[in-house]
Amino acid sequence: MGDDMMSYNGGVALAMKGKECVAIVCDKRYGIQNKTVATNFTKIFQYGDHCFVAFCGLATDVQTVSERLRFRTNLYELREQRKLKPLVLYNMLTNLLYERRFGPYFVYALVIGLDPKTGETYVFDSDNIGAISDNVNLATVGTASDYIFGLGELFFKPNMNADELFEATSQAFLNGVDRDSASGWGAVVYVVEKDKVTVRELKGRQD
Amino acid sequence: MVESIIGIRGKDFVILAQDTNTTKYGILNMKFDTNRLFKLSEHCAMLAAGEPGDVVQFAEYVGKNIQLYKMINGIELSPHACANFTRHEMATSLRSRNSFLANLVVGGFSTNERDQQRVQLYSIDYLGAMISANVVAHGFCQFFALGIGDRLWKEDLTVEEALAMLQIMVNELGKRMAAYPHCVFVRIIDAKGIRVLENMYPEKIHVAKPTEGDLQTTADMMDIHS
Repeated sequence: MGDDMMSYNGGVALAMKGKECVAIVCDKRYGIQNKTVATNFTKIFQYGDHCFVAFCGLATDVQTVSERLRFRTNLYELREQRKLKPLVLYNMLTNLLYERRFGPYFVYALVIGLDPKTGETYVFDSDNIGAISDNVNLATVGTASDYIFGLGELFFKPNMNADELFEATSQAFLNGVDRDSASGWGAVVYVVEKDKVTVRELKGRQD
Repeated sequence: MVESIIGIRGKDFVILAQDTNTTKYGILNMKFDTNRLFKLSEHCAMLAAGEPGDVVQFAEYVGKNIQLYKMINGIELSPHACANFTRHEMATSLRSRNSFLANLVVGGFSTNERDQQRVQLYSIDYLGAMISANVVAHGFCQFFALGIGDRLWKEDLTVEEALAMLQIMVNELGKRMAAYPHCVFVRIIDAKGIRVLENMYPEKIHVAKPTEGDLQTTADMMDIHS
């Protein structure tokens, strides 16, 4: 059950850290095993001004978990009357996933964030039952993550600026995705900086 | 999976098409005028295919709740809202003891002028994965419909062009599928509401009569009888 559910619909995401900037990218394919059904299925969701989450795995659970997390983060902001911080978001997500420990959602997640005051960056990943990770430089989840991890480590340098980070993230992602038949069909890259978020669509190979 | 449901999004309308066969045991046709369309509101409808009992039970449950929402709140749900509600119900059902096996196409025309995209078309599968696309389909016809849709769909598609595209899909289904769609019901939803269009039929395939030459054996050709 477990593993074939994770690759039933396909899809992959990558997150990388720079100097006072952080990037996250996902592909756009939605398929049913070998059949590509749609090429506009993005997997990155925004929670608050500087926080993004990518979900990879079973498409229905990508949508369900993203909606349930939206519900909880909205309630948090209303009840606490303050903005969501990346670490809070990450803990809420892993808590949500662990609630289903013995009947899990089939999604892996990436959480990125940036503190607009200090410029500190956050990249976390989680498995489908909410195992917590350290704040890492580079994380990837999804069907092509094996390929992308290697490329990501090759392209990563410490203290990249926003443009260098975009280039490194995109190159690692596109070249990794081309080796995987269950993901691809274009990509969306979010680069988060202190004062702005840049969204770019990459075309990539269409096959 | 032999049941075909197709949705096409045009410039200011959606077309919802369905085959009309009810099959049993995978080989028998029980009925040739099956309706798979469920009206959700004045400008929104849903096509459903899958396990026959589940389809009717789920589609009516969702449909009635959408109508109830309108009666309580005095405002109609947009097709986008209908689709999201339906997806949520499907996703909840998936994690229950008895889940519904129904694949859906939700389409409609939003009565809210402020909507950027007023023609809305969604596909929801039995797992609760929802996508929005210009051409959507479920069942084996997906192979044909999505391929033809990718080739022929364009921005500002007119009704005539959409029906011509649908006719190509139906012809291909009639030609290549063992489960022959004897008849296809076609509905259109636009600013004026839901209307029924003429039935569509697959083009008849003409096959040339075999010639006398085909009856010749090798012995005949070698002329060894005389």
